[in-house]
Amino acid sequence: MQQKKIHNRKKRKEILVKGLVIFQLVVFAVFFLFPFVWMLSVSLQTEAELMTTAGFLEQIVPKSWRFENYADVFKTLPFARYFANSGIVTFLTVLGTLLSSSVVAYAFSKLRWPGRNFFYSLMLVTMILPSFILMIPTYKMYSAFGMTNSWIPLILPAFLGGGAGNIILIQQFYQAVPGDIVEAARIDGAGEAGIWWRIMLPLSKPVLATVAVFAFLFSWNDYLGPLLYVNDQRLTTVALGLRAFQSQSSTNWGLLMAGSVISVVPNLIIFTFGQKYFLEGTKAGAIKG
Amino acid sequence: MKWKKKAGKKKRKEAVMGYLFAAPWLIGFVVLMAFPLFYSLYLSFTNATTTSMSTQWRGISYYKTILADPVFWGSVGNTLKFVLLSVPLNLLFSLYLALLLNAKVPGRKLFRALYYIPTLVTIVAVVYLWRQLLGSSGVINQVLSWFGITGPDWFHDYTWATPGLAIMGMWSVGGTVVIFLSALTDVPVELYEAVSVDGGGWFTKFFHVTLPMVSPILFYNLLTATIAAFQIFVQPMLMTGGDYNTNYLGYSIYTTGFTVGRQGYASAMSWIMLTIVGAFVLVIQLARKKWAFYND
Repeated sequence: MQQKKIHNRKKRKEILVKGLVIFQLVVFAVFFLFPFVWMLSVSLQTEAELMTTAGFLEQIVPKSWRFENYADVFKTLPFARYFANSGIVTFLTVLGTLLSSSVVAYAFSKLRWPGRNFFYSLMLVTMILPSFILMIPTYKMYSAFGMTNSWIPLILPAFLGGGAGNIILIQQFYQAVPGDIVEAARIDGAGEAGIWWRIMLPLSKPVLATVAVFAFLFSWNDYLGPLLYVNDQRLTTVALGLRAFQSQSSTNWGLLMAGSVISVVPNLIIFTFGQKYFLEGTKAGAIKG
Repeated sequence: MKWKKKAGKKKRKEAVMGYLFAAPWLIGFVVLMAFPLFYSLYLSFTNATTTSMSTQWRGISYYKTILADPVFWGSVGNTLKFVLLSVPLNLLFSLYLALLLNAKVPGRKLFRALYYIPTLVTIVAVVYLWRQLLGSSGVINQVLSWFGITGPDWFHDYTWATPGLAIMGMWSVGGTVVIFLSALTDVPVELYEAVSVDGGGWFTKFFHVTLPMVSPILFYNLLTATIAAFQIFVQPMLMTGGDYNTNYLGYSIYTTGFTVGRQGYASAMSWIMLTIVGAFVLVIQLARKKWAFYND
């Protein structure tokens, strides 16, 4: 009897705590999602409505439902062009990152070569180097080679290692692949390139998916790169192009928010497909850091 | 003897393959990091600009000028304010969210995904969105007014622009949450059970199990968040144009180097900035050696 009472009290407490946790989770979900709802709502409003409606609770449901805002985004700016540009740059960045970071990860996990440990430590150090210090000299270098006002500075780094974080993520995955598999393939006469392509790559699909999502989001959202290197309207990317809704004499909030919604759609799609791998896989790079 | 020779040959071949496979990163390291780093140091001693071809040696004169410049020190002070405000705010907030998500409640995977979604939004959209949300009659101020608080016009206010940017940063904290969460899920359940058996409550569990177990990740997040916060620059550029005490170092260096075009001067600024960041990194690393708990 006594025991049951204690048990009941314990159970009640547990339910209370769980309820409290869920309540907070919901409150924070509102904090994270409300801006999206607001963005979506404003993207469907006329300028006049936005000006006259006071109070966000009234603002949250648009009255004008101006879907033309979305069409106007493509009419007032060459937004389709921006979209295609971002698509090309992002595709090449993802491709380059996947190829080069997995090749390098193979060297750092399955091959023995003098200096390997030294370079690995160096790679870890580069992760904490503030990239700011490199901005001006890198710009001058690309400028000296006449590569400014092109996409080369945006894409080239992806093919040259694709970032220490990505390499380490894949390297730690490769490390877990038993050395016997690689050794057996070597005895069978397979070359290193063959082993990487036919054994390691297929095995590492989950981590490659993670890296692909990271590279995609980084490239699609990159603002600083295009800001420095792309002056030509014809080369402008979405992340940079969005700015133009603002700088023209006055801000058209409806169009700006419609453009923002459009710009985030590819990310949402990639995230939805990749989240299974990548929300689980983010940790590996951080563990040893 | 013959076998040894063969083994040596095999070893050499593997070494060659090693360098070949590592080549993309090795080249990238030299061309995109090591060389620019030295080049930047060289530039900081010259009067290089974006336009002129000929540059003159200036020695350490720019360093002297910068260190005697009250505007520069104002910029340092504003940067430190932002770093010291946003880093603890982000870390505590994301650790708290991770703790909530780690509770065994239904729908936690959904919440985790929802919390992550803001990080998908491109920075220009984030800034314009939050300029509205934190406007003088924006959502945040309307909510504050329910409690009788008159909120400031955040991004047109010398005191509140920096806290405003820090709050905006809290919206994009999802990546840190995910890292914390995976560290939390790795804490062995037996440790919590042991505390329960000894009659310890959540306080003991948090401070004697959770915190030590996630401390390596905590320091990792502290390090990356600090370095990132020091480099903040696109946000003030788009939000305030560097006004209202948001002329952070990154912003000052960008405008000096690209808008004004004084790249030598800006390079000297960035080396001073690197020294300050380096000091913070050093302190964090020392603290990590002292306090972080490693199981192995």
